[in-house]
Amino acid sequence: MLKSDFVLLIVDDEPQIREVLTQYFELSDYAVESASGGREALDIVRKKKINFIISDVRMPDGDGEELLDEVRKLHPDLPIIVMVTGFAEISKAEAIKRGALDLLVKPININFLEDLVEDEFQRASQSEGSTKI
Amino acid sequence: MFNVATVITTIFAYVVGLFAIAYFTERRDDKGFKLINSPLIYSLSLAVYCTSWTFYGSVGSASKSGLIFITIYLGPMISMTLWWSVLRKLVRIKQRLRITSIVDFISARYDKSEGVGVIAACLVTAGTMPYVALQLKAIVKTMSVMVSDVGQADTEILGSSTGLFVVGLMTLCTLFFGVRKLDSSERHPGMILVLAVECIVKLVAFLCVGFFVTYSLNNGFDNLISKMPEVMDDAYSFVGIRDLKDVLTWMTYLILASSAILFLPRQFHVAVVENSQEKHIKTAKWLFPLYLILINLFVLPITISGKLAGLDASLADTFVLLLPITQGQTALSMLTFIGGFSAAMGMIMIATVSVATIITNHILIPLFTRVDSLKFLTKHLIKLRWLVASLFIIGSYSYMKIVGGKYALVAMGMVSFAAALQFAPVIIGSLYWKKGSRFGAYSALILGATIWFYTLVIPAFVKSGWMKSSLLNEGLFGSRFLRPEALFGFEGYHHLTNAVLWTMIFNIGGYVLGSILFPQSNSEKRIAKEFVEALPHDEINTVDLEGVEDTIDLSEKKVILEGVLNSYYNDNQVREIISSSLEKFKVDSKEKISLPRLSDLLEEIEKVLAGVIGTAAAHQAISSANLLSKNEKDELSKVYGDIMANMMISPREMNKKIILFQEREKMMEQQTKILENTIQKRELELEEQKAIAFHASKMSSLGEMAGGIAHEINNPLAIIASSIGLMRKMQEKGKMTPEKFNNILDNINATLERVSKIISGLRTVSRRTDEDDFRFITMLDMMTDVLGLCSEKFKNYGIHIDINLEDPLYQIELYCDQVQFSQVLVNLISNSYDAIEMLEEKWVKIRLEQRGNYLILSIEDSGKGIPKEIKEKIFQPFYTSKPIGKGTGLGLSISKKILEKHGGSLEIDNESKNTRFIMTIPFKDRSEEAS
Repeated sequence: MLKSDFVLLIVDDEPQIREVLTQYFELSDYAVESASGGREALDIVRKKKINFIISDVRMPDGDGEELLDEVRKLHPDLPIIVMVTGFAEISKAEAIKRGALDLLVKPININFLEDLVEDEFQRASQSEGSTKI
Repeated sequence: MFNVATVITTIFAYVVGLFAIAYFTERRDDKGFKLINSPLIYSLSLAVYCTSWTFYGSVGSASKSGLIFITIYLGPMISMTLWWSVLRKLVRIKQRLRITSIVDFISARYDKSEGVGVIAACLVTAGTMPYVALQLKAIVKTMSVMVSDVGQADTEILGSSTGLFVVGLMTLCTLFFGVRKLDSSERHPGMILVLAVECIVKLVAFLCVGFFVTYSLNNGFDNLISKMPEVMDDAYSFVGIRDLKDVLTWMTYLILASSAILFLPRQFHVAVVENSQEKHIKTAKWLFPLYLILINLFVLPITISGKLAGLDASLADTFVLLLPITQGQTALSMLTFIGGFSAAMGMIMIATVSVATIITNHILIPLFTRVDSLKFLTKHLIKLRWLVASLFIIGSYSYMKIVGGKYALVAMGMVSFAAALQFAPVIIGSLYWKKGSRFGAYSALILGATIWFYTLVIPAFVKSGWMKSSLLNEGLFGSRFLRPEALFGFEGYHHLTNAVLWTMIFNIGGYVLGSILFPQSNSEKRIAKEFVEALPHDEINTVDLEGVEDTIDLSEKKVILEGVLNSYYNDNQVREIISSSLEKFKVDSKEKISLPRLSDLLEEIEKVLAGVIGTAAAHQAISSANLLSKNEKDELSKVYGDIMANMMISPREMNKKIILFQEREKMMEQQTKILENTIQKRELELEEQKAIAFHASKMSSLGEMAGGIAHEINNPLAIIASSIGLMRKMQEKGKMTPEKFNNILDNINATLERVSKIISGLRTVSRRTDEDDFRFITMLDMMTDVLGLCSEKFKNYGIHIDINLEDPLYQIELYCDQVQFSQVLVNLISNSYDAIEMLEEKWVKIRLEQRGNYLILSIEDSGKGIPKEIKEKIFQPFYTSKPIGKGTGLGLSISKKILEKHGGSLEIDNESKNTRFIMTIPFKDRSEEAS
């Protein structure tokens, strides 16, 4: 499996964050989609094949917690990383309980985020290989 | 008729028999031998009144003076029927206070005074000793009659050894029957039984002689009486009443005899001290008068018969014995002798026991306790009493030997009666007159005794030839006015009438005047009340002392008490007394007791001790032992003293009252404590609530702010951090171009500006708020800061803020405290946020208008308005409609105050269908300010 076949979905109401993260992961050869809110993101998940979701929690147009629950119903195995600002939002334990791969507090460590994506990509490649055999 | 040995052997046998009876009954007494406690024994014991003076003397008196002897028995009959209520009261008081003698009774009543006791004791001793001497003489004389030829009776015939034998025997009997035990208030059942037996013996003996004389020697009662004129000179010499003088003489005898039956020390002893049950008095009320009638039944027949038989009138005193002897009636003679011996012995025994107790308790103990070198003697009480009893009998015998057959001895019967009469006013007064005082008792006894001595004893001495007869005939200092037997010109009357009249006038006068002039102390008032009211039962004070604190260390007091009692008892007795007293109050297992309980205990032990050494000495002993420390005394007397003085209540009632008050006080204290606690609790709670409220308001606004700030700052930081990561990535991949580089840097720069705006807003809102800091500032600046803080939050929840910052009105400078004003804005906008957060339609509309010198800022949100009923309240402090934990209710009231301080106002727009707050703020030009 190629990295260009591995599709990331970046969800944040802050355009600058969307833009920076998109550029970053495209430079790492991943395919990147982006959405400004939960509802838009869900539309994309329904229409396209998405391998990994990075989502903000507080967003005017459908928040991240809802997105988490909905995606879990559609694709139980789709890994999701949630980003929070660290106040009055969902806790890490709760997020993982609701199916998130991990919870990162802004400002995020982008290298760590890339490692998580990389790990998932490797796993996806291996499981694809084993199904081929 | 008999030889000496026979007489002595018979006496000896008789006495041994009495010993046996006493020993037997005293042993059986422990097992509740009923006889000992019977009213019969009590009634018979009263007959100790009938001494040898009755047994032999009645006939002698009848022979000489006719019927007047009968007054001696008429008096007691009258008093037994009239005075039984007095006797009952005396018995009650004796039982309660463990009275040991008549002197003890008087001293107990008059403030436990030792002085009164000493005077009374002296009077008793002086009045009793000649009387005992008379009895001794009767024994010796009748013995001589028994052993000599008829009509040749002479005491000399016996020699002094017989006299000593009698003294020795009497002493022995008295010691054995009466002074073996120490607690004299515990009664002497053995002695009383012996006395009762003796009383039966003397009655039987007299009745036998009477029957023999009346029916054997003569032809019956009527026959003898009909022969009376043959032996009597005239009717007058028989009846003895002719004029006022004689009537008064009769009355005098009656008065003396009535008082003697109760107030002679030995009568008091048998009637009061030895009484075991109050109800026995009821029997004695009729049985004793019956006894008196019986023993007098044959007095006249014997007198007449003796005279008819031609016996020498000078021997009339022994007619009773002489008649059977002259008739050769051996057995009857011996029985009669034993009867007379019994009468004498009973009197000697009881009188000696009584006097010995009185002398030791009221003269010796007060003396010994005051003289340190004699103090050790108090430990040998019983031996002291033996000694005193022996000395008293020996003294009486010596008196008899010295005085011999002189007037001073013969007259002593009535003189003794007159001495006893001196006790009547203070005793009857003690029972019926509450005001009788110690000083009254002193005056009564001193005056009475003095007059008694002057009008009766001195004349007796004169008539015996020991004093110049001039005193009698010419009076003291040669003043006829002061002649003893016709005092103050009371001439032509019987010397006894004279004595009774003047002793009673001075005695009663002294008592009443002394009591009125020198009133009672508080403690005496209490005693007086107890005596006058004399309740029937002496109940133990079992008042419930619960609630009174047990503060007194019992073992400490026990040691002191043991020390006190050790002076009078041996170790075993001391332990016994203390432990039984402790048991009585059920405190024997306690370590600490209450003060009132200790007081009870001391009272009890004082009573026990009083049974041995008398009330006054016991009181002295207990009170001088420092059993109560000064503090304890103060505490006790503070309560007792005042209340008792005011209320005149008994210690028992007092005790109840004290407990009641203590309980009440305790209850009140508890109530007060509870109230105080409640108030304190409430205050604390209120304080806590206030603190929590203020803290919460701070925390919640800080928290909200912090949350907002975290959100506001972390997003830009995320952009910056990610941008840096992107640049590095570009560099790695060799995709970095100058154009891209500049682009990213611009982005970072803009983002940093956003952060700095937030920080600036934060600085504004969070600066110190305790001092006013007025300055010129535009609404634009303030609004920018506030929105910088909130916009991110609003944006995140999709709340649209409708504001036109381009409006030139925002450029108008306001003169205000920027921090406080900004806080009002944050507060209002936050309220809007909270109100509409969950609504479908979310917007906030901010508008600025100018009206004259006022700027009107309205903040309207999509909320449905504030219900009418709470519109009134929302500006009140602490009012909140938010869920618990969300708001504190301080916001709107504080905002309103801040605006009012700026000369503006904060209101709700009642017209708007949405929620709309209207702020009115005055403004002025900077130029205006400058000018």
